[in-house]
Parts: sequence; structure tokens; C-alpha cells
Amino acid sequence: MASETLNYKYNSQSCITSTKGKENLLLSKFNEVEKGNSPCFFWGKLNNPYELSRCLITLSNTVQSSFNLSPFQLALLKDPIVTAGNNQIRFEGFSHCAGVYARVDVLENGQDGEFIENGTTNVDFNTPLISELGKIKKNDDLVLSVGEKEVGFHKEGESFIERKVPLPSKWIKGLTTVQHYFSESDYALSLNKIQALQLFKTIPNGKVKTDYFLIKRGSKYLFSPLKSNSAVCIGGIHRLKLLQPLIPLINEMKIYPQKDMQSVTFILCFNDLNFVFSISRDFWRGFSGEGAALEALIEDLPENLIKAFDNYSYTNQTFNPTLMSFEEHIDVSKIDKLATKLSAMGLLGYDLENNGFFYRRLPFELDRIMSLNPRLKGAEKLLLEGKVEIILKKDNEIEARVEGSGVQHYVIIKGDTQKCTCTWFSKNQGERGACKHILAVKKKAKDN
Amino acid sequence: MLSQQIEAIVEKEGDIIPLLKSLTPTQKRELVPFLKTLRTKIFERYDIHDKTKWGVSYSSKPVHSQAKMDIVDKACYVCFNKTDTKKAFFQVSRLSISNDYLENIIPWYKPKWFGDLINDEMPWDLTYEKLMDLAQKELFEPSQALILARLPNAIVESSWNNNVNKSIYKPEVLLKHKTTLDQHIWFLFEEASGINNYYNYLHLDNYKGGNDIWIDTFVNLTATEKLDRHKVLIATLYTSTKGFNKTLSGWFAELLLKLNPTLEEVLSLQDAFFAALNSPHSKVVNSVLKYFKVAATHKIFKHAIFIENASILLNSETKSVVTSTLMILDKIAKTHKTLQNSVCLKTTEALINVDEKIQIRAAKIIEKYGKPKNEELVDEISMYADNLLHNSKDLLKDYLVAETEQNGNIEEPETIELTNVLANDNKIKTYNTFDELIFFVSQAIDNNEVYHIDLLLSYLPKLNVLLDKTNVEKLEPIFKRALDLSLSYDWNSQIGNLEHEAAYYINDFSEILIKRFPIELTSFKKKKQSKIQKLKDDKFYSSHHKENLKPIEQQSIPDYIYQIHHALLIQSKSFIQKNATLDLLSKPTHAPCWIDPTTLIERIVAYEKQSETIILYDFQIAMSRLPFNYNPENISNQIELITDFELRQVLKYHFNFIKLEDVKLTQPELWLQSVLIKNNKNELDYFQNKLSTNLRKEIGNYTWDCKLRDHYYLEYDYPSQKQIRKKTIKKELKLHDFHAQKKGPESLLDNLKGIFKFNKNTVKIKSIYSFMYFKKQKYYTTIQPHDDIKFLYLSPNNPSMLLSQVVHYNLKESTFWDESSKKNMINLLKGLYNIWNRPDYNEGAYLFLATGLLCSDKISRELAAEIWIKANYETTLDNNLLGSFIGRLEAGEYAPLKRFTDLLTNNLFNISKTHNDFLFQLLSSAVKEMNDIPIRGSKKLLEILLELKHSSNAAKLEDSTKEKLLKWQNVASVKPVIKKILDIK
Repeated sequence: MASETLNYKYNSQSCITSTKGKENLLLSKFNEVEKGNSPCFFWGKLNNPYELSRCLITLSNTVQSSFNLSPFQLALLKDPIVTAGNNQIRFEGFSHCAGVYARVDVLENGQDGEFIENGTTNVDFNTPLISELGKIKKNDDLVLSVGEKEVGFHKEGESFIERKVPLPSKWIKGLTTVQHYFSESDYALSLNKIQALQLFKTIPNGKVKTDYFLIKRGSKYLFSPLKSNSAVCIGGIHRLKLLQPLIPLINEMKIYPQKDMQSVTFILCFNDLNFVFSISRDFWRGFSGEGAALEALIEDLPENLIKAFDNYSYTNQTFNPTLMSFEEHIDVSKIDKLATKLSAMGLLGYDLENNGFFYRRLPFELDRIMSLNPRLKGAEKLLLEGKVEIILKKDNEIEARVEGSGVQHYVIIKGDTQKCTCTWFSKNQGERGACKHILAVKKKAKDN
Repeated sequence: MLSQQIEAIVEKEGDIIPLLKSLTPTQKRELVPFLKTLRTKIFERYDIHDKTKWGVSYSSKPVHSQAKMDIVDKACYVCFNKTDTKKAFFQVSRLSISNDYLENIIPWYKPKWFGDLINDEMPWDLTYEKLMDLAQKELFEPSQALILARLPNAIVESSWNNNVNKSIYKPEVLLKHKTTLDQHIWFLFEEASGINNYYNYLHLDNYKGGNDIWIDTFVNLTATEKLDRHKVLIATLYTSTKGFNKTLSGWFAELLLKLNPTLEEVLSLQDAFFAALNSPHSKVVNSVLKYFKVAATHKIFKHAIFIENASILLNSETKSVVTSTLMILDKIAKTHKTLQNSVCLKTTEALINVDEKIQIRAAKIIEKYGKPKNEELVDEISMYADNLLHNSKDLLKDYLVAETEQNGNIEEPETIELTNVLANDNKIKTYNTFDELIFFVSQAIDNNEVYHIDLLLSYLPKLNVLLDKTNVEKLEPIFKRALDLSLSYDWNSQIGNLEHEAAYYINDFSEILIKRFPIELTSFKKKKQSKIQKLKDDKFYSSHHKENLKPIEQQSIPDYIYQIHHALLIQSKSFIQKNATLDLLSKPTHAPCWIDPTTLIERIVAYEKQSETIILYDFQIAMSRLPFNYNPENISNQIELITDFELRQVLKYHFNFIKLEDVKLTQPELWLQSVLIKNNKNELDYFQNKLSTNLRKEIGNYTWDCKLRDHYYLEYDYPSQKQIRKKTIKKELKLHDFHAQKKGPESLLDNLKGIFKFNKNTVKIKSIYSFMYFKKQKYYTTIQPHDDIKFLYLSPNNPSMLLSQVVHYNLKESTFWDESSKKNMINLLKGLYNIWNRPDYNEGAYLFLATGLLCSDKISRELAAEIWIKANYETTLDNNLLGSFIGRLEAGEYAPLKRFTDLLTNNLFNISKTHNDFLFQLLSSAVKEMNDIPIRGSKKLLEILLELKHSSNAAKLEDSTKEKLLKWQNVASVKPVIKKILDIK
């Protein structure tokens, strides 16, 4: 997997050009699964150029950062992806270590332009572009185009910029897990600018290994190393420093912890512009290694459903299973936790503020997404080799023996509780997704 | 045949060029396989083993002469394609640029990959001058990266003369080629290069400027108009947007300062200057602000944009950035009346700063230019009201209409979780069924909860009796994990040594079961044997595995303190052997370590019914884990169910039904914990007198001081060639009578005697405390992190004993020698936070907390602060005692006072009104104990004291504190603050 590379082919370099007092931000795009014919997704004016450019710089810093890799591995820059549609534009990306997820949401009133085509695409982020973004001022006139509007600008079909980067498999895995965690996250608290500034001043220096907790002391919020069960838990707190330059500009900051504190999401709200920032449980644990979405993947979805999804172009609209079922003549009502499954396959995104899934098709081939999870693959291998033996199956209760390395693991599934005697389960007690033994037993039980 | 011809030339070391010249492309291709073999042969080396006086040295030498190798290299160079070349040569580009190749090969054969590989490999001996020559001859096109790598070195020419390196400054190189100044030099402003690291550590005859050689070069180039000054200024400013690192950005800031733009230039380049304000590096921002300070009063300065951008500046962590920004805002307001309102609004953002000087500066601007009638401004300021210090409040009093109300309104902390002793929330789940027990045992060695080891002691015997032929094999995975863990040397940051001990115990359990269920556990037995065999074959492991597979009774332990758990594990194992299912008395019922008294009595009764011997240590731990001052209803009736008279008496005494003087202390070790836990001075004295014993160690009270102490060490002196005794001075905390208490450990066998078999005539009291040593080797502690907290929870009601050990061994100085001592500190503070529930802990606990507030680890300080906050919230802390300890420690300058004052402002100040009162008490007690001459940092401490005195009406200084302050008044720097403190009525 590591040797596999993805070839980004951009028609031109992203850049900002200045004409007649207007700054034109062109984001060059590339999509592995090219759907539409239009070379341009969006073209129009952005209403908060100063804040937006700061957000994009922070996004770029996030994408370039890594909290568990050597600087050498950092040299290869990954490009963010952009989703345009339903009057919204979202830029999203991961840190190199896949432990920090950042997304810039330009809301409906944050732009004034036309959505020529809906969809998701990789966009080119290069150093000169970031440098130019740094020069944007408050009252500048900033026009964005995702893809090139003027087709004649470059020769058709010819690619100018080509960048080979290692396949961002961690990204793809992480992107699916993050959506899942989002759907399990609840609003916890909201801080005004002053409180947020005070809070961020309490981030300790250096790389921090202890967990920190967000607590209130007096009228101030602060991060404390003391474990508190009711407080939001933040592992690898130094990662929040990426947000520091944005805090003085915000109107409000909202915090959404995941139900088992496996991730925490900060939403920085500006005028018609949100910066969503989510960090994994610990700096050495990327989202990509978490198994939250695994169980959603063990059941195969009908192929026509996935095809139907591919043809969908309601980008950014709230996911509506009934509507899809009606339009595509597929009975989706029988599929349990459909939205979770689809998000795990990279077909849906999750919007915390609106508390719902939205259509967002990752610009990567579906096979790639499906082929990435080692624990899922491990489970399938166990089944293939016939190492799973179900000893007892009653309503709501399964007991099974699964052959592990040298020993027979004992798995029981009773209602919502599922347990295994393996090391992974003993250590994590299910907090980081089911182990491959449980997955295999579940799949076998379902298939039967 | 060509190959033979080549071989002949190589053999004779002749001239191969004519032959190579004559080759056609096809011939070259065909020669490749032959050349590869030839190359391997000619480049062969042989090994040399030399015997030296230090042993054998290994080296190798080439079989063939250098000339032969060169000939083969040339042939390969001409015939190989890019891939083969890259494989065969280490850095072929060095050959490409060598004079030999440039003269003899390149004129008639230039490989297609010639330029590519030079750009890729960047050979170190390719200087900028040389690469420009090659470029001029159109031999290759240098890449931007190559130019960036070589240009910084271009201005110094180095040469070797008689083995001496001679370097001269030669800036004229830059003028030699037009492209250098037209294009190449600008690359330095676009991408990161080593220009900032470029300093000539060698002596330069013609340059004396130090490390600023490139900065001077740029300054000269612009002064002589070789470079456009305007363009250089813009490029320098825009480097701040290129994401350069701190040092490189700082270097460009330095260049800007040296170019020293004029006022006109600053004004005409404002856009670029504003872009540089967004730099994450304070040096860049500070440099820009330096120029803006001058430009701010000018008409065409973009004042409005500056105000817009000021948010980020006012929130900078660098004080000078905030101060400069405020100065500029002040100037803008002075010259532009129309902007005064927006300046004031923006200035409010600086009020978030806790630094008094900054707050006052900001407050003065608002006071000078603001209008108290402006509601927006009033609203904005009121948002910061909580954060305002007394003096700034005073300046802004017109804006803080509701000041008095707000002042009293510091919210009570919301998220403090009260210490749960016996609540439903912290009740530990009990496991009964086979499935529950097996999945519990599976995780018992993972340290998922601090009390899992305690539970394992009771649950393994319970699981034991549920096993039969049908289910025993389900234990295989856990047996395998326990075996792996006990044989493993790998360090696991999540567990401590006690988990290893638990693994040994589970190993023993597996052995017992293998005997009982030989057929069902065949597979595991085989695996275990094969693993052991493998280790035996590997000699390195042989002694190690033998040791670790011994039964738990024969296992060695890392230190005395581990004896306590060791004894409990052996006790639990004995239950398995007897098929008993009793809970150990010390098994906690409530997290992290508490025991419900009712449950404890039930357990004692159950032991009596089954005639099971009560182990003394188990009993002592259990007694200490009873919540202090908690008497459940009906407890006296329950106690009556206990058959043993003295045990009954102990419990009656514990729950205050009888007095100590009224009982006969037949077995003092049964009474010890209750006497210690109640911590009543009279009773303690009575107990000690009666038994003519000394409990200082158990109580954890020592006489101590902190001062400068001389230390001696040996250092080798080269001139005299002798070891010389040298003196060093350390600021050290010392517990004086610590070692007087040292007792030898008792044998394990003694410990396992039941309590009723104890010799009644002795006054030496056997207890778990005999083993509580927090020993430390020179550079590391033997107590592994994660175990430390479990030791603390062995006697949660009398933590002082263990904590004074920690102070003695780990906290002599406020810095930590090693990572694990630091981790011990963090864990123990976290543990202490969970159990702190009464103000009358002995001095050991308070001294530990005081060192926690002062030590060098920030996390520890924050944790200690949290203990202070919570304990004061629950009024379970003696602030006078803690304060006096801090004062005594600081009298010996145990730690820089700034550490403590920073903690005060950031973590302890303004938690609530009550907390401020307690803080005042703490600080005045501290000041009282400090030296007569204030140490560095005392001014800040006094300022906080003043602030607290302002905020609290009740705060009164004790006379002894006043006396100290009067003495301090002789020092000019603190005199004004002291005067203010003393002036407040």
C-alpha cells in the first residue's frame, strides 16, 4: 500500500491574480473519478475574504502538519479537497498523521456566485498561493473559481501540473471515520471570543503527552491536566495550536465532543463562514486507525444503490433516504443504519451544526476506500479460512470461538454488548471499534 | 571483440577514450551486461584483519588499482542508461562535473541524463561559479533548488594551501553573470535556503563583519544600485508570507532592519508591511511595528487597516508586540479624532492580558480617548470586567457602572467534581457470572482501572470454582497473554510492575489448572512448552525465563514496597488452592480505593465463619480504606456480629463508640491504622507512650528545612593529573530525622503469619508502613509509574507517610532527575486529588503539595493547583500550613518565585471570592516565613497580595506578616507595593 501513489493532474497551478482591484483566486482541480463535464464547479465572489483566507492558511498549515512523523515524511504536501454545491463550498483536509481534520465551510451567505456544477474534487494548494492568501485584506474583492471557468484558457485535455504523492490512504480512511464520529458528537458548550482566547492561552508549551480536560474555573475556561469525568477530554493538546492565529478573529467557538471522547471538534464561527477542526483521541492515534466505521462496512450494500449514489449530484444537500429511494427505485428502508454505512464508504459527509449527513462523494475510487481497512480485511480473512465457529445463536445472543494466533478466542455478543478475549479488546474495551474477531462473528452471523 | 579489447585496456591501464569514441549506440547497449560484470570484478575489495593492542581491527582494500577502476568507470559512464548509472555509481554527477570528464568525455558525449542527475544529486563540490560556467556553456540548466543550495556559499571562495584552508570574501562573483542578480538572487526570497546559516567560521582576511556577511552584501548591492532597493525591500517583507521557519524569518527581519527603510519607503510600501504583520514569528512583527511607530502619525498611514489588523497583535503572546501595538493605537487616536472610538474599541482587546503593565497602558488609552457614554464601549469593557486588576479598574471606573455588583460576582466553579467517597457514581461494578469474570480477568493486566489489581485478587479465586471441563479452555487467550507478558522485556508505558506481578500470578493459576484439566488444556500446555524451549535454545534468555516462570512465592520484587501486594497475591493464590471464594478484606467497593464499612464487617464475619485466617496487611489496608468520619446507621449492631473480641473493640473505637484509653491494646498492629487515621494528637501520644514506640515514620512528620547546602564531588584536573575535590552549592530541601527511622525489612514468612499468631510482648508494631519506602537509585526510582498511585491508595487516609518518602527521595530539589520521577509526581498528584477529603492531613502531605506547587514540571504544578482549588471549595485544606510551607521553601529559594507567581495569576487567582480569601491567607502565611530580604520575584508576589487585599474586605494581615513587610520595605523595588498593601484599611 505504501508504494502506491496517486497522480494528481492539474490543468494549471492554483493562483491569485489581481485585475482591476479584484483578487481572483483560482483553485485548480483534479478528480480521480471525473464525473461532470464542466471544468468549473463554482465561480463567484466571497464575502469575507480576510477571514476566509486566514482559514485557508490554517487549513493549509493543518494539511502540512504532522504530529507523529519525521520532517522528512512531511516533505510531500497533500492537497485538500473541495466540495461545491447547494450554495455551499467546503474545503477539507487532514494533517499528515491523519489525527487532525480541518474543514472550512463557506455558508450560503458567505459567497455570491454561481455553482456551475456540483461535486467534490482535489484542489491544488501550493506555496505561492498560500503566500498570496496571506496578503488578502479585509475589504478586498475576492473572486473564487474552483476549476477554470474560461475553457479556452488552456489547451483542452493537456495537463500542465502533475504531482505524484503517496496515496493518501490514511486520509481516505480518516475522512470516513471522522464523519462517523461527527454523527456521534453532541454539542457541549459555546465560548465567546474572550473566553476562547483565555482558553487557548492555557495550552501548555511543547509536545504534550498527558490528556488535558476543558474545565471552567471562576469565569474562565481553561485546559487542565486533571481528569474530570464530565469535562471534554483532549489528547495531544498541542495540536490545537494550529488554531491559535484564528481565535482573535472569531465570533464564537462551539465544542462538540464525541460520545466516548474519541474525538473533539471545535467549530470556529465567523460571519457566514465556519472552520471545523477535529482532533483524534491522541496525537499518536490518527483517525485512520480507528475502527468506528468498521461495523458499518461488514454488510454489503446492493450494487445498484452504490451506482445510484455515484450518479447523484445533490452535493451538500441533506441526505434524504426516502427521496433517493423514490427517485432511484431502490428500497433502502430495509437497510439499517444506511447513512452511517454510506458515510463509511466516503459517500456522505456530516454537518455537526445542522446535525445531519449531506451528500459528498470523495474524489477517490470506491475500490480504494473499500480496500483500506486492515481490521476489516483481517475479519474477512478469518472467515475465508474458516476460523470462525459459532457455538450458540439465540435471539439477541451469539457465542463463538475464533481461532487467533495460537489460541481460540471467545466472543460473546449479547444485545449491545460484545466482548472478546483478545488483546485488542481487553486493552480498549470496544472504545476503538470492534476487533477483527467480533467483526468476523458478526458478519458470519449476518450471512447465515 | 569489444569486450576483450576493453579488458585488455583495463589490464594495461591504457587510454580507453579512443575506443569509447568509436562505439555506436547499439554497441554501447550490447556492452552493458559485460561492463556490469567487469565493474563488479574490478571494484572488488578484500578484507584485512589487523591485530592491534585494542583487539582486532577490520578494514578492506581494493583488489585493483585506482587507474583500472577509473577506466571502467569511464566505459560505464558512456554506455549505461540513467537507471543503470544510478545503480552503479554513488554520485555520478561528481564525475560529470570533474575536469577530467568535462575535458575528455563531455565534448563528444553528453549523456541525456547529464543535467537531470546534477540537479537531483547536487554534488557538494559543484560551486555556484562552476555551475554558472556549465550553464553558460549550455551543458545543463541548473534547477532552482540547486541554485538555492549553492548561491549562499558563492560569495566566499575557499582554497587549500599547504594544508591550510584559506577563505576570502568575494562578492564580485555575484556580478559576473547577469542572471545572478536578475534572477537567482531573488530565489532566496521565494523559498527556504540556508542563507541564514551561512556564516564563515573560518578566518576571512578581507571581511570582519561576523555572521552578517550576506546582510552586508545585500546592503552594499542596494547602496551601489546593483540591486533595486525598492524591490529588495518588498521581497524582504513578503518573505514573511512564505512559511519560513523562525530563524530564517528572523534573518530576513534582520535584513530589513539593516536596510532601514525611510519613512517615505515605509509609507509607500504599506501593503507589504501589513502583509508581514501576519507572520507567526514575533521578530518579524516587532520589526514591522518599529517602523509603524514612526509612520503612525503620518497622514497617509493606513490607520483604519492597522486598527483592523490589531486583533491578532493585541493577542500575541509576546509582550513587546502588544505594547508596541498599544503605542501605535495611542498615536493614531492622538492624531485622528475620528478614529478615537474605533481605537478604544480595539484597545479593549488588550484587557484580556493578565500583565498589569499592559492592562494599565490599555486602560489609559481608553480613559484618554473614550467616552463613558458610549454604550458599545461600555459593553465591550464590561466583558473584560472579571479580568481587570485593581489599578486598571480604577482607571476605567467610569465605564464599569455595575462594578461593585460584578466584583462580588465571580462565579463559583462549575466543573469541580466533589470527592466521591461512597456514592453511587463511583461504586465499583461487581462480577458474578462466568462470562463477566472471564472478560474481567482478560483485562486485569491492562491497567484499565487503578483498582483492577485489587479486584483480581478476589475474582480469580471466584472464577476458579466456576471452571469445568467445558469452559476451562476459554481461559487460553489470557493465559497466553500473561505468559507473554511475564517473559517479555518490552517496556509498556500503560502498565507498571504490579501488572507483571499479576501476570506471574495468572501463570501460576494456569499451572494449577493444567494439572486439574490436563486434557482440556493440552494445546496451551504444548504452546507454553514450545515457547520455553525456544527461549532455552536462545541462551541470552535462559536465566531470565527461568526467573520469571517461578511460582509467585519465589518471585523477586523490585523493591520493599512491592512486598505488600506480593503478600496479597500469595494470599489470593492460597484461596485458589483451597477452592475458597472469599473476597480479600481490602477489595475496594468504591472507586478508586474506598471500602463501604458495612461490606468490610460482612467480610470479617464471613472469614470468621469459614475459620479463614485474616492477614494483617489485608486488614490494615482495609481499615485505611474506610471513609473517615462516616458512620453508617446500624453499624454498632453489625460490629457485634464479629466474634473476635479485639477486632470488635478496634471497630468500635474506629466508629467512636469507645475511647482508646478504655481498651487493652493487646495487638497494637490492629489498632495502628485507626489511631493514625483519626489523627487525634492526644490519642497518638497515648498510643505511643503506652507502647513506648515512635510512630514518626508512620505519621510522616519530620523536621525539615530548605537552604543552600555544600556538596562535594571529584573532578579530574588535567595539569596536576589528579582527582580534585570540588565544591558546589545546591538549594536543597532536607528532612532531618528521616534516616533515624530506618528499619530493616522483615522476612516475607513473618508477614504471612496470621494476626492471631503474633508475639504479644513486642512493642515493635508490624505494619504495611514497614515496607513503604519510595527508594531511589542515583538516577532513577525503582517505583514504576502506575504502581505509585496504587501504593498511595494502600492507605488513602494517611498519605503523609508515603508522600514524605517521595519528598525525601524525589524532591530534594525542585527539578527532576529523570522522566519516571516526573511521572511519579504527576501520578501521585492525580491520586491525591481523588482522595483529598480532610484538612488535618499530616505535614508530609502538605509538604508534598507545597513542592508540587513549586516544582519544575508544569503539569505537576497545574495538578497541585487543582488540588488547592478543590480542597478549598470543600474547605478541606489548611491554607496557613500550606502557605507557611511554601514560605519556608522559598526562604531557601527552593524554586524561582516566578514559577509560583505565574501559577497564581494563571491558575489560582479569581477562582471565586472565597478562593481569593483563602489565597490571601495562603500568601500572607507564605510571606511571614520568607527571608528578611525579599528574593527575586517578590514584587510580583506582593502585587498579587495587594490585588487580593483589594478584592477582599475580610482580608487582614497577621502581625507577623506585617512585621516581615516592614522589614522588606527597606528594599526600594518593593517599597511602593508594600506601602499600598499596608495603607489599605
